[in-house]
Amino acid sequence: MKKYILLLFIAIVFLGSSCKDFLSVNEVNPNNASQVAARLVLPAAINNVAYTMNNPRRFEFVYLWHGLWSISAGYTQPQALVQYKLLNSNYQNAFREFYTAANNLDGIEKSSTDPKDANFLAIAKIMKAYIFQNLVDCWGDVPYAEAFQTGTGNLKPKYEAQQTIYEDLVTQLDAAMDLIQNAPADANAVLPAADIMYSGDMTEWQRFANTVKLRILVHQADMAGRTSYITGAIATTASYGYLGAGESGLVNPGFVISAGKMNPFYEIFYNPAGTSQADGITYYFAGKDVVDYLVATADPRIGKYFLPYSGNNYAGNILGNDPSLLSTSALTSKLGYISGDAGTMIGTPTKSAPLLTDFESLFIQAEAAQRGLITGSAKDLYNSAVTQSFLYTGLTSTAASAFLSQASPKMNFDNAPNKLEIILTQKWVALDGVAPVEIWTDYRRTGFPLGLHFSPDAARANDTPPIRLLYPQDEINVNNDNVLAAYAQQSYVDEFKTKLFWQNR
Amino acid sequence: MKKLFLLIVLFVFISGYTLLAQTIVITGTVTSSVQGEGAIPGVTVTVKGTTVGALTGVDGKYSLTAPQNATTLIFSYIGMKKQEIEIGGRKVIDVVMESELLGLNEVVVTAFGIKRPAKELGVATAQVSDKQLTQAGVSNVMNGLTAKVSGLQINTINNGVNPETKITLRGNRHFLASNEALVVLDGIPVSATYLNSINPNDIESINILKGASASALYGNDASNGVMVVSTKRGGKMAPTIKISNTTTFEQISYLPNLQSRFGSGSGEALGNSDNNYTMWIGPDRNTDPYTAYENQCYGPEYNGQMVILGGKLVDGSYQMVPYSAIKNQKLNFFNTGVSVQNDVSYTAGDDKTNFYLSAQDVKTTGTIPGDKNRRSGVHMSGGKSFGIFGADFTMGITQTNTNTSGGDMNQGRGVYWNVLNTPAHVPLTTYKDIVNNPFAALDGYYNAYYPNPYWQIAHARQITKRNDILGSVNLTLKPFTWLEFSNRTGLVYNTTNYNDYRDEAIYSAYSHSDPWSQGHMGVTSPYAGTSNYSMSNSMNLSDDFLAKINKDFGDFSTKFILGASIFSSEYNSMNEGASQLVIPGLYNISNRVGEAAVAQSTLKRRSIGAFADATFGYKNYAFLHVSGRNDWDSRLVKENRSFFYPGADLSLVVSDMIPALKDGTVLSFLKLRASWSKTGQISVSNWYATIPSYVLAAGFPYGSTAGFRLSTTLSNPKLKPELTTEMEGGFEVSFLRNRIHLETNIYKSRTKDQTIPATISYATGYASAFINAGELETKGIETDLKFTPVIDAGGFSWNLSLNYTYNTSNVISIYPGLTELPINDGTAYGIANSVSYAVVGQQFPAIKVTDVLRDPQGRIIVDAVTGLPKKNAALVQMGHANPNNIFGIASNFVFKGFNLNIVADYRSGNNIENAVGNALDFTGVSEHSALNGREPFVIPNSVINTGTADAPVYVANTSVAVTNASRAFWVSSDYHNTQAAYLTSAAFWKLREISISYDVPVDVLFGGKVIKAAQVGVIGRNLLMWRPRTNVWTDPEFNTNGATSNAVGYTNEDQTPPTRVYGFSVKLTF
Repeated sequence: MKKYILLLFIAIVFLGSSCKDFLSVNEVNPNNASQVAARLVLPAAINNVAYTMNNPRRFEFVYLWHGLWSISAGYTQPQALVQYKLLNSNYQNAFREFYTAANNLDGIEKSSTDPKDANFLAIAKIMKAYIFQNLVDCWGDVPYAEAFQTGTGNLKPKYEAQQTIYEDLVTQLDAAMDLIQNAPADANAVLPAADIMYSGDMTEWQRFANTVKLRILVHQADMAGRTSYITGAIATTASYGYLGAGESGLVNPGFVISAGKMNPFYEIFYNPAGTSQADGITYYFAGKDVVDYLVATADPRIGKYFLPYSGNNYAGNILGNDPSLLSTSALTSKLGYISGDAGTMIGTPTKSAPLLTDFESLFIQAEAAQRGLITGSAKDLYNSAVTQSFLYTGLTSTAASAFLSQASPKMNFDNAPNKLEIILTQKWVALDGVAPVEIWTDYRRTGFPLGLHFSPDAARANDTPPIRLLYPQDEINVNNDNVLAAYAQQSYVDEFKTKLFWQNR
Repeated sequence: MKKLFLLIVLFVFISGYTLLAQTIVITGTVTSSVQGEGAIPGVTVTVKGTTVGALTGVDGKYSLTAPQNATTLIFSYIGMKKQEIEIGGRKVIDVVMESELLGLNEVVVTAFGIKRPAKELGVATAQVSDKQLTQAGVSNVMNGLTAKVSGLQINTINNGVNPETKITLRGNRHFLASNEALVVLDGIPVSATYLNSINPNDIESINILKGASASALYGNDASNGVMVVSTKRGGKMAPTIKISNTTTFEQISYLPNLQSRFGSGSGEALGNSDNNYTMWIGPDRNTDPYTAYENQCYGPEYNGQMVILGGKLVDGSYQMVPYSAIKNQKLNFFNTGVSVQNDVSYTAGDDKTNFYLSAQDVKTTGTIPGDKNRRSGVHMSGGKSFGIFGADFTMGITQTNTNTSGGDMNQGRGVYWNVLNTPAHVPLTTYKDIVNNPFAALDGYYNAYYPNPYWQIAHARQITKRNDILGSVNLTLKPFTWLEFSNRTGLVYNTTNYNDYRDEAIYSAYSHSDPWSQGHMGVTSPYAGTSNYSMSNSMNLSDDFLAKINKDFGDFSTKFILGASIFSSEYNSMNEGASQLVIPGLYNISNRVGEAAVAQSTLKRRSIGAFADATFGYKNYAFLHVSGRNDWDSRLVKENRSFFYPGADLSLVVSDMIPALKDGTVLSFLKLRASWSKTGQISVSNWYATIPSYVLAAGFPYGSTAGFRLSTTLSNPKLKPELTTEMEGGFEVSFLRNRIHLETNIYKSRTKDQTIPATISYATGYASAFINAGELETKGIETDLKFTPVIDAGGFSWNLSLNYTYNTSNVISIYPGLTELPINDGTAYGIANSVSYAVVGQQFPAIKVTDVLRDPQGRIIVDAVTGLPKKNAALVQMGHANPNNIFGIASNFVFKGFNLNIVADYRSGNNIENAVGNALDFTGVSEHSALNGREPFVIPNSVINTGTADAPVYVANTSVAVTNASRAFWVSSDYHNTQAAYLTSAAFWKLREISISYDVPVDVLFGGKVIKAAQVGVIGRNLLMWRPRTNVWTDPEFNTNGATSNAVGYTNEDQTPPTRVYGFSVKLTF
């Protein structure tokens, strides 16, 4: 008897002693790493942002509300868009994607403590600032300081005042530019494979940062009593320069013709076999305002932006449910697509996805120069911007010169009575299909382009489109106290009336 | 020699004498083995092979006159085991009869294969015997269990050649974690789906331990109850060979109700490109014009005239068909499935050895043409004892090959959807020959939007090859009569290869040019061929070491079990997919352009358990049983890894304690019992949920550029087990010498700290986090009544058993601030096909659906002008998916060699969303969509608001009809686009099984020398189903979301229609 009890004890003790290793199988995940080097996280984060900015579904409302696109008459016109009846659930994907991408950048930021990691730290800060500027421009007050605080158990981040966020973005961008400037000689290089935008060229990153900063500051140009802040901020980093011709921030991780691996704009329209996707090429059509403008200005870019519905005829529709104003799909232009032509709006499966193009930078600089915020010739910057836009669509600089040398005040800077109008109207044309949020922001703060046709739908909720997005339904579901507090700190949020802090008109 | 001669003479003389004497008189007394029961009156005593017999008197005594050559007496009495006693020249034969009913002297197989007398158990158990299981010729164990035991709910969630089943005991305990019972096969834990791979004929018995309490010893996978499955083993018997064949036929029994009045039309404009394609037929009845290539049936009424069907082919030829409905057109598409099941087994053994060997082959073809399944398996077990040492083993190998049709090339729809989308005048079955019939080919098929289902059957296949191996070795050492050690090692190994391919579909240039101008699916051609291939294997290794000590001290008995258990589980999978195959007919992943989709996964978990179990008995009528187990599980972090759960139960056999109660013949047995237990379950669906994980970012890698991102589910190192506390009480009582046996239990369990994926603010950087929160209470009552109305009246006897279960699960809480939680399969958050929610204060799972706006009385509010309802922006709860009432009835009639079994069941209290109803209305083939002849009608039970929006006044609507009661209403209205219109009661009555078998007298076959027993039978399963009149769609037992999902209460066209099965069987014993 004793013998057996002893045996039993030995067995249990043996089990007990080997427990520790035996039970450690779940401490390391064989499928997924729990820590990953910054150089492997950075490409995904940059690519995610490029995806959000370039997937037409994310910011289609900008194109549709501002005369650039319309929806085929063959489709039921969605109420949220044609009647301006936004729901909280509309466009929350962009909110989700921005925050999850920023969380990965925040992880890089928190882990890049070694001075040698200065470049990674700088890029993480720059990309975060880029994301938060877009978040603010769409939603106003958003979680900022309390975001990404799961480490301290904060699952319900408070909303930060938009102006506070904007000001901190400037501080962060300054810090990033300084980090690059002062990076130690033995700082880890960001190898081309990890930097899918500038292939490790930190000077370009510095200019990219300074251009984002300039964009943030120019957005505030019409705010009363803000000029000295703006000029002061510009001065601190003016020496770093801005993105010039040929310095576009274009993302290309190595797009290939394979499902889920193509240019995100292209992939909404065509599948890898080259056949059309559902609700792509047959869904989005040309907008009337931009087609009329391109025709009126004899702008050759029209052939890259849109397809003639027949011969050399182009027509766009006004978004809105008024059958008398809707031309049939057979008489409306589709978005521009010529197989293999990267200059068309839809482009090619392997075309790079823009985050901030050289012509956008030049238009921003032109406006800043025109407003006297930076030195330089507004006209030269404007002409350069239009030329770069021509080049981007695959046209020649000769064609650009010919276009610009026309006498019409619609493209001739000298003849234009209102220089800001010509800059911002041509910027609106140039950014079609390229930079939706900036188009929206420009319209909200300056009112250019003039004379847009808004929805004629009898059931529209307002005469003009919303000036901000509603807080995501996700947030109302799980972070409602803070959403309510955000309403309160912005004096109640109305999508037609509650202007963002920089809007002054 | 002389002596021998004398002997012979003497023998002949004596023989002659006995022949002359003819008979002998045998007397004796029959008593019960049950303590205190004493003599049994009414026992039938017969002489084997004759009709000679007698009954015992009040004192249990009998006397019969047997022929001189009689060799054996048979003693039978209801509730007692039949006994055959050799006479052996005796004149006085006394017999002690043993009870046959569970709860008396029966043994129950409990944890670790420990056999315990039922009277000791303070918890509810039930046993299903091999006969009960296979009486209706099932090839699937689950089907054989349905309706036979209280507390057990088995749903066949889909039809098909290898049907999936879902099994729950006592309802739901978990929001998201599995609610499926643990299955323990010969001491080895296996998944519930594993049961589908084993041969029901190998099963000796299934013991069902209903509550969490009975299962406390099994560790953290057993909180949903346990089914202990014991396979057959040989024993002390002559070698026996059994062979049998069961052949069954399966036919569609209930299609949804369909209309036969209206043909194709979906509002296409007249004279689109060719007037023949779209035209008016007959008077305008608010319908759309006839459209030759349209699947939707909102066209004109059938009138028999000849119409063009489909478009013209490139050579200008076209089809003309009568514009009238073809009778049974959809039903005729389906085949009669055939299942042929062949079995052979060999059993042998003696005092020290046992041996069992069986082989089975089941070949099935389905109701959908081309679907087939074949399962072949061998099973072997044996054992030997050498003095104090014993060893036995079990080994099973099964291969299952399944081949079914896959999704179409355009929308990925299943065959059933494409059959339903066929107007009634289309001669569907003539399109079988997709090679030679030009109108069956891709280009020529009439339907512009959905492919020929026969093309799909030929070119889209899902092929599964599954191998299951189970082996176990059990060693015992019994050094003293009161002490036994045992160790069981078991391995369950599975490999599954799965290939899902679809051939390329290339339409001709003619089709591609869209000659019908209606967006024919050929326009977006070519559809590249696709192939997905996956290989997975899983291995579960377990080892249990036990020490059992039994000692009696006077009136007291004690039983101790000490043990340790190790469990290790590993799963590996590789998936690869090509979305553009190049060479037709070659499904290898290398045959592609574009990049292959690849994924690999390895999952491991391990646990260790140590436990102790003690039973104290007093005078063999009072028993106290306590148990405790501690588990250490690798899926939780070190600090939370160890958890303890105790349990206790009490059993009191009142009828033994107070023998006076049993005086007379009314009360035969009474037992009371009560139990309490606590069980932990680790229910993290991701076994690595406690550590952060970076996953491959979408699109990556791009060539040499890798990219990773944090999972959007926040890891949580603080996760702990879900804890279920369960209490139960019950009684068992028998009357009239066990002629009536009643057993009733009530139970209540609470499961708290549920592991739920809480949605969190995206501003945290994450979408969700797994947390422990929420509480679910489940309670119910279950009762089983076994009754023998007729014992033996001229060879006729009748047994009846009824079982009833009432069960509710109520959500107590979810998470502070959260009142509802969407339910899905626990891995993918927010699947589209789920209407299941956990809602605080409501039964679980609640069904929440989209609905139209209603007034406070529930009447539909319609527009005063259009007569149309409007969609309610919020989801509306409409009942729940858990059947509160489950009633089963089984009846057995025996007459001479005939045996008739009938099993039926009823469920109610729950609802079901029938998405197929929505699909049928969309298509316009449903009877539902033609009830008003497509003429304007007033929506029944509707009201109009005659007040203002702020101060509504609802007046019954008697006059405002919907202006368009055809396609506009059935396809586009908010009525159609809300789920509430297709939600019905899920109640049903089903006739599950009817079987008649006949024991062929063996002496007619080879004089009884070769064949020892022979049985022939006819069987029928699911012959009839009764549903509420509102449910015209499908079997409410079905579910779209798979066997392991808790998201129940939803069916769609992915489940083929219900079927009935009938056939015959032949069994021979050698």
